[in-house]
This record gives sequence, structure tokens and C-alpha cells, in this order.
Amino acid sequence: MYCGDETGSFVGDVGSHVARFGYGGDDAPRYVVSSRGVEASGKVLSSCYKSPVTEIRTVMQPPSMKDDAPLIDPVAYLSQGECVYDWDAYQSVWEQALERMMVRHATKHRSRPVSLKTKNTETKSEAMNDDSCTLDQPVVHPLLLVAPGCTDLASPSNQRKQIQQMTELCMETWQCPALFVAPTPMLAAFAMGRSTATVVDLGAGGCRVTPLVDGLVLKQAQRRNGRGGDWLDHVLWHAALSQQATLRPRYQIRQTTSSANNNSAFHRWAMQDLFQEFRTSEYTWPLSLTPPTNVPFSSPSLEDTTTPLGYQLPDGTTLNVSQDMCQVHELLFSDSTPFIESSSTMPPHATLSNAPLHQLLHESLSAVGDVPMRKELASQILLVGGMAGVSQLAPALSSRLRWPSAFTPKIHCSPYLEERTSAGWIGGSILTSLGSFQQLWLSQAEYEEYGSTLAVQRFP
Amino acid sequence: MTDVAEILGVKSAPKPVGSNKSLLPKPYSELTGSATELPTTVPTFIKIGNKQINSHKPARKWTWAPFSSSSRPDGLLLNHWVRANVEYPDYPYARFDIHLDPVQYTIEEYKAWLTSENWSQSETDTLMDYARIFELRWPVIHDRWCAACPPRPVEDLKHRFYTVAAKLLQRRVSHEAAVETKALEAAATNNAEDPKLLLETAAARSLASSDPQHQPLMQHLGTGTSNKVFDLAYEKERRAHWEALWNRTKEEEAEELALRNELKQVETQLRKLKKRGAHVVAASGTTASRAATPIPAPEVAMQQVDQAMTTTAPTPVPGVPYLQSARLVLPATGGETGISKALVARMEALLAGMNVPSTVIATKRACDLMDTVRRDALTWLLLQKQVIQKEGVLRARRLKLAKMGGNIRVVDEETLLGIAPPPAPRPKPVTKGPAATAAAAAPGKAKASASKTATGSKLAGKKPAATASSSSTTAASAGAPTATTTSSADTKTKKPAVKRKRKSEDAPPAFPNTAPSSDEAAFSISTKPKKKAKPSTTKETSSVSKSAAPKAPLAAAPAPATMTQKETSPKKD
Repeated sequence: MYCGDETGSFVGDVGSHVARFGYGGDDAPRYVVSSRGVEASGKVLSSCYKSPVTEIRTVMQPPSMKDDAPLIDPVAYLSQGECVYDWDAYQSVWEQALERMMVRHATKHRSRPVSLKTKNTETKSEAMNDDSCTLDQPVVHPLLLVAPGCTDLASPSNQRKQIQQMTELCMETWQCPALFVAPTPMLAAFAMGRSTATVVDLGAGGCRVTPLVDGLVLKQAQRRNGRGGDWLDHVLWHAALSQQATLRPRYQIRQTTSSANNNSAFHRWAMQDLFQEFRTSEYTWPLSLTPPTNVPFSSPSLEDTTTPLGYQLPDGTTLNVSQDMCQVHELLFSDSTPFIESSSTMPPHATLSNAPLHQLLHESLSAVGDVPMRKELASQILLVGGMAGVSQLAPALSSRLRWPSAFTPKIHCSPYLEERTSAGWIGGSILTSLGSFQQLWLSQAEYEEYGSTLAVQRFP
Repeated sequence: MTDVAEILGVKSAPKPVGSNKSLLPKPYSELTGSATELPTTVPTFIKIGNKQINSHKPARKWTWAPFSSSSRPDGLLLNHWVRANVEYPDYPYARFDIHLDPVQYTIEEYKAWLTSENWSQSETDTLMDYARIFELRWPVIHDRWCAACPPRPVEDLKHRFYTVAAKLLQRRVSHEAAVETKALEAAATNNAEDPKLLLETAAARSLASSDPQHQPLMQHLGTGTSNKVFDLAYEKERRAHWEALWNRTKEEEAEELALRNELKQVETQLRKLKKRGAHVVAASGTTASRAATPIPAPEVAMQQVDQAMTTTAPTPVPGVPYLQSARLVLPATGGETGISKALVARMEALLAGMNVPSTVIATKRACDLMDTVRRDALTWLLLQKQVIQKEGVLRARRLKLAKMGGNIRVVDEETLLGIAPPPAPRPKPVTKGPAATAAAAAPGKAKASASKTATGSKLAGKKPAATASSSSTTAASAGAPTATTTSSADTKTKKPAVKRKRKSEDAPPAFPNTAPSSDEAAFSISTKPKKKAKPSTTKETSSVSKSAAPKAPLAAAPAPATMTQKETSPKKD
């Protein structure tokens, strides 16, 4: 049965690495921007190829953006929960999206079509002419905000505060008619057409396993580790540093003095981007279906014996690519982590751990109190997130899940990369264009009557 | 058309003078040929789904219009696309706004009916709230519960919720019924002769007075509850099984699978053996208790063997040399008088098993002995074959009997055949089953024999309870209650019984007359159980067991456990 009813909502998903925006009912986000580089003026940097004028701010402030050396302890990535840290940066990213998508200027379904050609000139002229009036205009679309959905039970009040902040921002600053805040795992499951599922979100900040029952997150059973894209990039960075003392990212190529600002957050962002590029290149191997005999980067002597390949860095120098660097994604499933002693800091909470992905899944389902439910959850494992595009990920994971046959795990994964990486946004787009969803919005009138406490109660 | 008219000689109508358009200036559209004049390539009717759409009609208009839903109390105005000029009474999706009714109680009700040792009122209130908010999605309720309160298992939460709901339903109904009874009684005193009123009063009174547990099933559809009692013990057990399943490793699972496959193989093997009747041989081989079956007409077999032997053996003719070694030729096979090749082969195998040399020095004495041995072997084999045939006939008849009269108790195979356990040193005059004699003989052997009866009963697949009870009665009379417990335990648990059975089947069938001692043993039993079996068969087939059976327990010193079993056994008949 088709139960869709488009109401012209605007959906925004601000993650720790990438922010996605678009109108509800669309197949994919229209405006995708990094959430890492926000200048002091409020301008969001589209890339890290050019040095910014001022120091940048990031929305989530992951720990990987703080120190000056590569951060190779995965547990350290858990210290800061995946939640919005810099609210000004958060607002800046949203403002930029609202401006680029012309959410304030025109409603989506206005009869006057805005042609692509005149769009740029018009926006410029409008911005020049009535800048003051458009920026203060209220947003006429209902807004769906995608929350990170990190149920950090160690600080439940923090989550409540996040939702309250978002509500106040939307209702008071933007004066939108209606608002809804939904967690990423729930929306990702909706994007895959399921309401009961185990969502495995492989993001930049770490892997997160969240069981869902009828679209509701089981908070006690969520498990998270710090082995995400950022961590893998840092491991590669650390390995590359042992070869070459100076690594110059793109923005430093034209600069004559390279060591000007090497400890800045922007530099770290640029370095991560450099190694992310390598990690997503064809140099990395697909995941093996059987566990490899040794963990990558665990034995330095082996690294020397393998014949090296050459990878050209942006500044023209060649990096020797060892076998371990090609197999870097195996670290998702390895029992130990390289470069550090095993007796590192303990995760601060029961829902946080340092276990490899397949054990994380088992831990998560073991924490589901309703045991018969585990059967259904095991048969609906969804792979989403920015790292879900790693080749052979689904078969490699399923080969490592040796569960009893009553709980045969089944892994579902969209064949399209876009659907995997922005599953949260797509789910939001689907949710807001459902007819039966329209009763759930938190309206401006309700907000004025009850305040943001109603938001905390209503949003899942 | 004009050409045809000319050919046919038909005069066409003269053209009107003023209609010559070529002289007049044409509009621009006519010169170029506008799109409306061209034949359209789009078909007139397009089918989309089940709808036929006329493509030549203009499209229906849709507008981007505001709407409000009746499911929203605040009257929020949102926009959506709707058909123009169509009035919607309400937002179509407002009817999906359905919720469960909350289970509610007052403080007085809670204090009167719902207090519990394990649950405080605040906890119960929280549980009811969660049940309402999450609408009985128990995994979610349990998740939120563990975050807010001290953790409890899911089944406890469910039990509390459904018990509270059931109690409320029960008590409220009986409470209301009590009120109604009063009113009706008051009415009945005024006009006592109204039968309808009296009936109603009686019904209300019974509903009010009777135990709430015996109320008819009532369901409260709004809350998804009923007055049925939640079975906590069953739920706990069920979840424990799930938990055990979850905690199993792959290796344990593989082991179980292998065991299951093995069991299946054994069972198919057993079925095959049973079909051929070889289980009798196997059983006799292992326990050396091939019992005296009622063997009819052994003379036929003897005759057959004699005939076969005499056809090949040379008859001494005067004047012709007579060789003793000629007597060593195998008996004739095939033909009218001969015996089957298979039988001869089996005989050879049997003799080889007993270390009888195939060639002997052909003296007269040796040849005579050889002849006798062969004759005996053949006879034995033939008799065995007959036994198997008779058993088949017996089984078929028993089946027929069971079909014809259901209530007639059918005699168990083992007791009928009198397959007895190892011999009892002290024969007792009391009528006994085979198990009891064994139990009396040696307590160590009791278990084995009891299990044997159990397996035997399972093999027959008829009435395991009957055998168990019969053996138990006899065991009680012999004063050995250990045998009773073991036998009943064995009938209960299938696996050990099957394993034991497998052992006995896998062992190579040894022949009873390989060792003279076992042969003697077999012989010594062969006479006894015949007598013993007889009364039991007559008793049971003639269905007078009701009178016969209860006598035994009364005579024996009754243990309480066996008493109950005995009492049940006649009931089953």
C-alpha cells in the first residue's frame, strides 16, 4: 500500500565527518558538505585543499582532531561521545545548507520554477539586495534533524540536553513550523525497509551496533567501539611516519614554509583526508574471508620483507606501500590493535568496548533481554555508514559470525554505495514523506505551550 | 475520390464558389502545420495499472494546499499536494492514529487487590506507564526498565503486567456482579414469579460468588489483556531454553548433529532388521536366551532335511564300489526335494563358525558324525525360519485384532514369545514376568533385564506402559523395588534405551550353540517360560485381566510408588 504524502519537509543529517541535506521525498541528499571545517565567519569549507584564513571549528569535535600526534589508541576515540560539541559550528553548517538550498527564499513547491542558470545570479543579487530580510525570514518547511543516535548511557542527561538544544535552535532561531529529531539507526533501518533490525553503523568515529525493535532503539544493547575510519587513517599515518618524516598534505604544496601550523586542527583534517584517499583507493585489498594469520602492523620485521608498491602522494613523493597498509581494513576484525600495548585505558562504560566488529555484534545481541527477539535481530543485520563501502565487508563479517544455527545471522547491505553511506538521511526522507508520520511533528504551537521538555518526551 | 467518380461517371457536386481558400491569405499555423493538426502518436487511452486514462483530455489539476489532521490537537497546518476542487473531510492518514488503552487502577483498587511482595506501587506504576507508551513491545519496555529501575527479567515484567490486568478484570466483574445481584434480588422480592428475572439473579450471584479463577475467558481488547492467568513457570522455562540455545557453541551443535545422524542410522538399521526378522537372531545371539517358542510341526522341517540329504547321498549298490567320501557332498539344492542355496550357505557358515572342518578323512564314523552335524544344523536353520514366519503371521493377526476390537488388550510380543532373560537359579512358584525373575536373581542384572523389556516393548511399538506396569507388579511381588524404578526410568528416557539396543544390535550375532554352556542355558529356559507365558496370554487376550491383575499387588508387600502404578495399569485396559 502506498502511504506516502509529501509535505515538503527539509531533512538534515550532520554527522561527525559529513553533513547531508535535502528535501524529504528525494532519493538522495542534494547538499553534502564536510562538518569538520567551519571558519570563524561561519563559512563552511568544502574541502581541505586550501588553507583557511582563520582557525577552523568542527561540529562534533572528535578526539582525532585534538592532539598533535596520530591517535592510535581506539579506546581514546570513545572518550568523546558522538554528539554535537560546537553548537555555533552546527548552526553554521545548517545555515549554509538553508542558504544553498534556498530554503528561506522559496518554498519547494512554488509555482514559479527557478531555473538552474538564473539561480546563481539570482541568489547573489537577492543576497545583495535583501540580505537582511531573507536571513531573518522564518523557515516555512518542517525540519527533520537526524541525531547521531548515540545512546551514551553514561550521560543520559547529555542526550537530553542535545535534543533540547536542537529544539531551541529550530524553534527560536529558525522559527520552523514543525520539528522532529530522530536517531540515525532508526532511520537507517527505515531506509532499508525494516523496522526490526540490528544496524551496524561503520562511521568515521567508530563502529556502532544498535538493535532496533519496531523502530525503537534498544539503548541498553547498543555497543560502540572506536575503530572507525578516523582511527584507520591515523594508523596509516603512523605507519607512513616511520618511512618519511615529513608528509605534506595538499594545502601545503604551494607553501614554501611547511611547518607553519602543523598542530592545527585543519592540518590534522588534511592529513586524515590524505590517508582516507589512500584507504579508499585501489591499493587496499578486499577483506579476506578467513582471518589472516597475523594482524597488520603487528610485526615490523615482516613489513620489510614484502615487496613494496609505490603510492604517489600529492606533493610528488612516493610512499612505499607495504602489505600491511593494503590490509588495513582487517583491523576491523583483529583481536589486538597495532602499535600500542594491549593494557591501555579501559572503556568508560559497559556499552563501549574495544572488541572487534564481530564480537561487538555478539555482545550487543547478548545484551538484548528478550532472548527470542535475538533470533529476529540476528537475521536482520544491516550494514550502513561511511565505511560500509569497503569491498567484501558483508561476506567477511558473515564468515566471522559463528553463531548457533537457531540464530543464523543474515547480513543485508544495499548494492548502491550512496544508499549505504547516507542511509540515515534517506530514512529521514522516507519517514517525513509518510502520511501516518504527519501526526508526530512537534509544532511551533506545542513548543510554545510545553517547551523543550515535550521534545525530550516525544522524540525517540 | 474525384478520380473514382470520373471513372464511374458519377457527377460530383459542384464546388461552392466562395470556398476556394487558396486565393485567400492563410493563417500562419495552416502554412506550417501546427502540432494539433498532425496525427498524434500518443494512443488515446493509456493504461496505468488498472486505470484507463484518456490522453486527449487535459490533465486533472493538483494544488499545493494546506491541511490539518484530526489526529493533531494543535491544528498544525502543513502543505501537501491534493486534487484541486476536492473536499477532504479529514486527513486520510488520521485514521492510523490508534493507541492501546492504558491499564488503570485507583489507589484503593491497588491496595485491595494488587499488592505484591516483590513489587512496590511505584514500580508497578512505572511498568504500566512503559506498557502504555511502548504499547506492549516487551523488548523495548525491558530495555527502558533496566535503565530506570533495578533490572528484572522480561518474563517478570510481563507476568506483573498481565497479572495486574487479569486481577483487575476479574475483580471488577465480580464486584459489578455483586452489585447487580443486590439490585436484582431487590427486584425479585417485588415480583417473585418472573422466571427470567430469577434466572438472571442466579447467574449474577454465581458470577459474584464464584472464585475468579473459574470465570469464563474475558478479553479486554482495548488494552490487549484478558483475565487469563499468565503462566510464569512455563515462560521462564521457555526463555531458559532459548538462552541455552544462544549460549551453545558451533562445536557443540556439530556434535549434537552427528549424534542425531547416528541415531537416525541406527533406527533405520533396526527397522530393516525388524523387517527381516533378524532382530530375533541378534537378540538370541547376545543374551543366549532364545526361548522356547511354541514351535509347531518340526517334523515337516525334519522331513525336508532328510529328503535333501538322501537325494545326494549315494545308496550302496551291490557290485559297485561305495566310497565313504561321496557322502561328504553337499546336500542337493533346488528342485522339489532340495533346499535353497542360501540355506546351504548359511549352514556352511554356521559350521565354519563352530570350527567344523569342511573336509574330513572319510572314515565311516567321521562321515556319520558329519552327516549328523549337518542334519542338525540344517534343521535348526529351517526351524528358525519357521519361527520368523510364524512371528510375522502373529503380528499381522494382532494388528487385525487391534483394528477389530480396540479395547482388547494385546499381548506383548516378548511375553508371548517368552523371550526370557538369563536363567533364574531359584525358580519361584508365583506367576511372574521375565523381568521379575531376573530382579530376584541378581540386583546387578536387574537393570539390564528391565531395560531389555523396555526396549522390547519399544521395538514392538505397542504398549510400553503395559509392559512396564506388568513388570513392576511382578517386581513388587518379588520384593525388589529397584527394578521398578529402573524399568520405569528406562521407558521414560528414550535415548539410553536406544543406545543399549544399538549395542546389542551392533554385536555380531553369535550362535547359541557355539558354546555348550550357553546352549544348555537356552535349553533350560526354553521350557520354563512356556508355562509362564501361557497364563499371561490367556489372561490378557481374553480381557479378564481386571479380575486377575489386582490380585498380585494385594498379595505382595506394597510400596507406595508401585501401588499407584498398579492402580493405573488396570485403568488403561
